[in-house]
Amino acid sequence: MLFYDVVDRCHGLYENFINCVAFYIRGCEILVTELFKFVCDRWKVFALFNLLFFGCVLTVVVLAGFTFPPPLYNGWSPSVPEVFLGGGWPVMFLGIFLFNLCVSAFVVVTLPGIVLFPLSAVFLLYRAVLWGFLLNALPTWPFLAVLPTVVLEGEGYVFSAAVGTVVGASWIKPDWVFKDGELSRIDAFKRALKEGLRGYVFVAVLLLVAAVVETATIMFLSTLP
Amino acid sequence: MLKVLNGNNWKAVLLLSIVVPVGLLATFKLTGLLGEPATIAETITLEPVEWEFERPYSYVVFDKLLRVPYSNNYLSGTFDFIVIDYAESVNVGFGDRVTLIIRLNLTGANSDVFIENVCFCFHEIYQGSRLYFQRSNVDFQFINLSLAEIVDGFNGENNLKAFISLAGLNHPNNVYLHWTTLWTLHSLNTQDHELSATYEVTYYNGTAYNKIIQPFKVQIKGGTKP
Repeated sequence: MLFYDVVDRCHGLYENFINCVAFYIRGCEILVTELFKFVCDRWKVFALFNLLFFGCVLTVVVLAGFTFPPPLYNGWSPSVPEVFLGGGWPVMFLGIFLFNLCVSAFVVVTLPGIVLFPLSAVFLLYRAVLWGFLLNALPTWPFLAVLPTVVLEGEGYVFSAAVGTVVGASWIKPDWVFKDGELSRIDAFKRALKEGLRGYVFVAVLLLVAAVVETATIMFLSTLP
Repeated sequence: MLKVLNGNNWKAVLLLSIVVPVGLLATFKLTGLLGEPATIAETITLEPVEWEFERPYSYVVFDKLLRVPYSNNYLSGTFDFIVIDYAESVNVGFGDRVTLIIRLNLTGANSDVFIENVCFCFHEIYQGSRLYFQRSNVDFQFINLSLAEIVDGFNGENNLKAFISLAGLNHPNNVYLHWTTLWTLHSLNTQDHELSATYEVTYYNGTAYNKIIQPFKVQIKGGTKP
């Protein structure tokens, strides 16, 4: 009797576990679908911004390499503001993530675009130019080590610029952003804002992964002479 | 052209817009097409210049100029260290201070030469003393330089009391700097002091980066009660 009770309970627990896993997978599926819906709807903007951003980084690195005298390399030092936080790697990771998300992505790139939509692209390109000069000043190994961070973080800023541009353009020219029907400026702005919030979850995920990679890269580069 | 591309093509464009530039960057770097950044090829340390005085019991003006004219094939100019005065405090010696001026004037021999950065460090073994860079507009001036870092009023590792670092602005061919500093002694009049100041200049001579180090030393001999 006791044996069957145990089996019955185990079976119940197993069913609960399976239900939880299924619920979790379904949740993730909805999240990913929602996230990619924003990306799928705006392929052109993302492709264009990616081309602009990474093309600009490449151009600046090449031009700086051929135009200016070789930069002086004094050894690796993480001279970006979010890294000077102290308190070990968890604090550094959190600092990098929050700084990149709140300041570098939202305040610097997205917010100006919401006010005047071309500004997102302008600030994105400004960052690309800065990164180009920074990359030009790195020797081969640190250069290759920071490339994954450049791709992930850069992609985060590309997405945040796309959000800024879409939301910013929505209240100026609703028909540029939404082809399906006549929308008032207010309605278009509300719809773009909702879409932008979904997109910002994607930005946050990208910058979170970028922060993990950046923290690991900084810790690795700190060990180099 | 944009209208010709369908959804799948855009996905390809999106991927290629990341992969191609980043791939090209890595390829250019690995193949050596993009050069390596330079390191300092040569460091020259010049003879230290020293000056010593006995610690007075009143306010004394010295206006002592320690000047080092420097010249090589690429760079010429002067390194100046001026001991202006000594001020006695009414507060049993603990506010006694010496006013100093650091001054630098360098010019490149040709347009290929530029000053990359300059740095001034102050060290003293005596723990209690401090060194402050004056911040009012009349106390400092720098031309073709931008302030990178300034730290003063502390007692750091290796007896570092203060340092200031400035970067050359737009690859300058000539730079000028003067800065008034206060060396507060925080000691009784019988206490000896010895301050080491180091000027470091990194410049590019057209083919490589070199560094010049000019040390100065000021010694104060503790006074005997008059």
